[in-house]
Amino acid sequence: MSNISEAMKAAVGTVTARTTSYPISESDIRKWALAVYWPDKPPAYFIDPAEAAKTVHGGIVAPEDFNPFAWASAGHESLITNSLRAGTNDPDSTEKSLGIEGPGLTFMLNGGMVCEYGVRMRAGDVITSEASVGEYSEREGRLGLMLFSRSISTWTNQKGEMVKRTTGTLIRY
Amino acid sequence: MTDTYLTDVVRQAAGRECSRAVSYPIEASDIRKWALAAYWPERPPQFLIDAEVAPEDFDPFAWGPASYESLLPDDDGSVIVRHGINERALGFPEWKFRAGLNGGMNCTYGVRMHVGDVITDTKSCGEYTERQGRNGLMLITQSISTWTNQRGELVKRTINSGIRF
Amino acid sequence: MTVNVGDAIPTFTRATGFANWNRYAAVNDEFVPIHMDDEAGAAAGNGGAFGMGNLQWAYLHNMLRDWMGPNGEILSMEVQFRSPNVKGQTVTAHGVVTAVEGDVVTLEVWTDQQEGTKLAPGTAKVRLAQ
Repeated sequence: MSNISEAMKAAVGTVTARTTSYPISESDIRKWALAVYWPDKPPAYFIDPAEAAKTVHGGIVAPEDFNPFAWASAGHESLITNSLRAGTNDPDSTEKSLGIEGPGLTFMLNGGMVCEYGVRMRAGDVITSEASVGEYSEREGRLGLMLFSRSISTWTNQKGEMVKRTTGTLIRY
Repeated sequence: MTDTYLTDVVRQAAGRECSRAVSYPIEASDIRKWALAAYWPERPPQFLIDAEVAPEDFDPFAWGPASYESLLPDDDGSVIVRHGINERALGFPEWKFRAGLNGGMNCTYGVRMHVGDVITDTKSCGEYTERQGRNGLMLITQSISTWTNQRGELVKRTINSGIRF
Repeated sequence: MTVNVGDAIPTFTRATGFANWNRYAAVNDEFVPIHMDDEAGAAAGNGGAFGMGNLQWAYLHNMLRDWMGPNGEILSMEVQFRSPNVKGQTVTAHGVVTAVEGDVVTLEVWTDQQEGTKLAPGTAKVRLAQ
């Protein structure tokens, strides 16, 4: 007995949306660093190009946790065309948005999030974020058969290098 | 009760340059985010999203200047006086006031600010005056902030007035 | 830098409130009523406004970065937001080494408030500078 249908398996890897940032500016990096270190001064290598030149990066890079999509993005496209109507509180909203039937489980909870980092972001970089459907798995637990579904957000720079991959897990039972 | 606030030191300070701050270069992102914030929740005009020009009220010194120097010998420069002038370093009397009010501001605009511009803010002491009012003798202060771009063109001149009594 | 399992790395501490939250809201465009308005925070069951999970996340990164220096690399991080960061708390980010494989170090990381209650526990993997 499994809640993972053939249609759900086939959907893994589907890219659902793509968002492109405006070019990152040194000012964005500087202000981000000022905010997250407030009220102390951030490290000089986030502010001063001469200090940053002494690091392995050879210039200013953004903090790993920097968000180039804050305030506005230069472009966004939804790549899902045949979604079924679903409220955001519907446990099957992920599958319905893909136009397939969900497993119809009653309860859902946030199973956490993990970030993996690749190359650093720099001034001038244009970051593309792609949302995609991750793997399904299931496990017998205290609450019965639990379904784990993952959503993946992959950031790449204009050279196609991976900047960051965030995997969120939804648990349903 | 004070007879007058306008000692010779105060009178002679009018017009004196007190500090100079230089901004980081203005970036498109600064202009875009400023416009998004100032028009929120409506969308700003597209030319501001595209950062063709900065809004007149844009502040390139927000979050701090790239450099700051005091022009007063008695000022150690350790405190950036962002919206006024360092009266202590000018040698003004250490007045005691019951209240201070923002008396308003008056801006004259010159050329617009654009991406890549580096703005210099020179702050000078304006003419202080006094007036007898309901609350006794009131001191009316003035500080003048002059912004120029990297070509020396006037961007904005702001006169800030304060009232203390 | 010699690193051993069990080592606690230098912490990163901030007194938290609107002075930090508003600045983070400004750079991340995170103007959510529960982070800006005591009434909205109270309505959400937290007594008042509370800080962004993303700022806890940033403090954990700051701690690792300040420890390793600019040439170290944060490879991955995972945290759970267990308890809200309410106004006036002093938040400290902590890290303890749990594994060392060559230059790759795994740490248990967490933020807590001044009484020791954990706010955001998690794990991180870093590569130390050569």
